[in-house]
Amino acid sequence: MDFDFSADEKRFIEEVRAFLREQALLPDAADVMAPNRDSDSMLSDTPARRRFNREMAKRGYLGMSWPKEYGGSEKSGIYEYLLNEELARVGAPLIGKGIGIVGKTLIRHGSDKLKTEFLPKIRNAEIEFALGYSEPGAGSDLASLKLKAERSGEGWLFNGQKIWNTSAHFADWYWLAARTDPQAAKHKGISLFLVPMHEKGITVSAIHTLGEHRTNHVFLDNVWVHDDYRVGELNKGWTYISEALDFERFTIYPFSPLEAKLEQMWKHIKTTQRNGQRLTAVPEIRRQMARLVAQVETAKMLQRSVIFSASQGGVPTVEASMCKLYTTALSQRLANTMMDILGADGLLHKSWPDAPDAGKWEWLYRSSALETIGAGTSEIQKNIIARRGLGLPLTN
Amino acid sequence: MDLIFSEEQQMLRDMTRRLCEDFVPLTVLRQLEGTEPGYSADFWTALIDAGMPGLTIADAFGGLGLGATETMIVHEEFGRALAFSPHFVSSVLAAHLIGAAGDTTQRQRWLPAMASGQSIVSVGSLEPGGGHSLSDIQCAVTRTATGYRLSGTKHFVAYAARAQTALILARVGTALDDVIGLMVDLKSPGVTIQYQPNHAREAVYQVTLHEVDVPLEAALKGGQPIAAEWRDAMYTGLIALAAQAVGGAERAHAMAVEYAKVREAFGKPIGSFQAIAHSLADVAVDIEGCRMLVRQAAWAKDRGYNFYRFAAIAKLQACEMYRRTASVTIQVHGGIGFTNDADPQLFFRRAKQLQLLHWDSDYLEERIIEMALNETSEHSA
Ligand SMILES: Cc1cc2nc3c(=O)[nH]c(=O)nc-3n(C[C@H](O)[C@H](O)[C@H](O)COP(=O)(O)OP(=O)(O)OC[C@H]3O[C@@H](n4cnc5c(N)ncnc54)[C@H](O)[C@@H]3O)c2cc1C
Repeated sequence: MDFDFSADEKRFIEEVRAFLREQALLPDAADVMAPNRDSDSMLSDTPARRRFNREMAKRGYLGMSWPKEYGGSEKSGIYEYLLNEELARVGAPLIGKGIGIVGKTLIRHGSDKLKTEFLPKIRNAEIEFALGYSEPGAGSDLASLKLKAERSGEGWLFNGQKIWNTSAHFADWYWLAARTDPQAAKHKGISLFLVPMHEKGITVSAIHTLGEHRTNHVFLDNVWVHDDYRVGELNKGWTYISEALDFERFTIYPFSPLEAKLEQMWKHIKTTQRNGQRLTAVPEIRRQMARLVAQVETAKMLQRSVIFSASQGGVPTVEASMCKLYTTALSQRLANTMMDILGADGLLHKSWPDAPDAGKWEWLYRSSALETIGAGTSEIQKNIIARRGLGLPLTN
Repeated sequence: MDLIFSEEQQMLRDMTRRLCEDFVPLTVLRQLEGTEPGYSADFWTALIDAGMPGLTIADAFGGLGLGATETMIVHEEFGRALAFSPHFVSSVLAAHLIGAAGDTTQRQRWLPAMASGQSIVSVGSLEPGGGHSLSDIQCAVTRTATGYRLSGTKHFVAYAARAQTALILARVGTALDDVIGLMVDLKSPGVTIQYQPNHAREAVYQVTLHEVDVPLEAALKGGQPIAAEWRDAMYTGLIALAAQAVGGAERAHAMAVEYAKVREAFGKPIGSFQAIAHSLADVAVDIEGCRMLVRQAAWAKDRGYNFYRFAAIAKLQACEMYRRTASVTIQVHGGIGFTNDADPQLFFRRAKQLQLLHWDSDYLEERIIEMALNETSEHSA
């Protein structure tokens, strides 16, 4: 047994860190790396972000796990995971939808035309995608999505709406799940399409969130796309969506932000006094911190379990649910604990110049509310663990 | 035992609820959040017409002379509506302090004006980097030929842009309780106030005092320490704050329950999933317990019993309950719950602020353990 990463993996971590240290010196670094704001840099479009992504492409960091024939380097998915950990640690945009969901699905199921058109652009960071899955009536129960795709000449006509499509307001292409067979069972009548985001008939309207991020409501009104832009086989969309989720298990739960937050808590606690006493000497704070240290270590182990299984070629669905369930709740507890430690000062918004840690905790307390909802709610994770992991006869 | 409100009390609740519904529905609250002066002038006028600013001020000073139970009822409704107003800071906290520590002239000078809503008096206790203990009051005051000179910084001073006056707690000696109360005219030379953007988007201010001269007659209790009066005012205020938490939580919970009945997933209402139903049931238990704790605290105060322990427990439990309730409310709403357009976030932000802004859990737990350890000696911190 060995809990360490291999020598080459460690070398890679050092390489990425050196790259990020270099990037941090650039004048636009603040737009790309926002360790106080987790994923800010990823959720908005800035010239800095595009430049940064192109730089990542130049280094060969995009498509590391892709086959060589598509410009990849056929490395184990663990490298993408390690890369994301380092990116997440400094608050830089993670490699995500393009390389993972879109790229890997196209490689496995896309036509030659789609591969030729999209894969090079993804690898060179020349294209941004929005994921069009959720609908107002289909979130946890995604398979009940209704957005209609009907045959029309050589293509398809789309009508309906999507919601929560993050980055739809700046993406170039839309990775769209639509109902192509309303008669079939709900999992069997869905197909995937690529649609230009700026196509006539698409209206994107902003939804503002408690985390001060923008996501979108998207309306499709007689949007037409050629059949060439259907991905894979007709009515196999659900299979592709689920498969893509499996590719993502490697990369979507970086652990480093938790570790970084804990470090920042320590910094505050070690340098602050209360009633003439250092916070490190306050018994209650010592115990709270000890608990968090232990829980963060536990989260790390749950995550190692996912990575290990995935690196062995397994599909760690249940482990991934466990990891997500535990980590997201921990992240909320951590934010709440720090708010309690800061007391009233912690309530100051980041726009107040003296807000502790530039308002990080006040913001995190709000933004972390999403963690137990997005990408499968905690209740859904428990259902997966109970049903698939424990074989319990759940009725819903 | 009789847990039924009197007819007058029920009428007071109905009236307060109606005022809130008419003047500060959540649509109005959304326009007020993050702005100055941070409350609705129409709502405040309506409260004045109803005599609310003088709710607990003695009738000799033009108030209604009502007790903790009525204050609790009114603030439960304020909490339910998330209604912003200077009522807590001026009519509950400041009025109590002036009533307890002011001399006859001071009471005559302030209470009638506060009761009629003419004057709003804010309170400056918290300081940047400090906690809720009196030991963290560092604002320095020295005697001059004509009065006092005050220097320091207060923050989270509510409605300071509208209040003419703030009751500032300042330190005169090194002992914990060497804290006096000064009625400071916020237009005095040396005073600067600045809006502080905050979690609940409430109108709170940093008040910087730079060698501010305050006349002799501005000191409560003849310039003697007012630590005991401050504690009594805070314990009394805790009942109103805990009531706000209960009211807010009840409303958030009702929203979540309603949503669980109508939102469908997998072909059925999400309330039919035990994960959702049980979590809403847990919250119901928390709320019920806290509702009773707050009522007990108000009752004990009105009876003249020692109510500190009850008030501290009520605030501790109700604010933690409110926080959890608001989280569950967001969770039950799923993605919609995380948007600014939906209402759960309003409760979520208010809950944490209510918990931390006035005697936070840390401070209350200390008070509770002290009282539990020594039922007879009141307080030492
Ligand atoms: C900021 C943000 C960004 C997002 N980004 C994207 C994106 O880019 N693309 C995209 O397609 N989607 C995105 N999502 C959508 C997200 O995945 C959904 O919000 C999530 O899956 C929950 O669905 P819902 O909001 O419809 O909630 P619902 O499914 O309505 O859930 C409501 C409540 O019911 C519970 N529930 C539902 N079913 C069950 C059950 N069987 N058992 C027990 N409890 C149950 C849920 O756990 C939840 O508590 C985003 C969401 C947000 C808020």
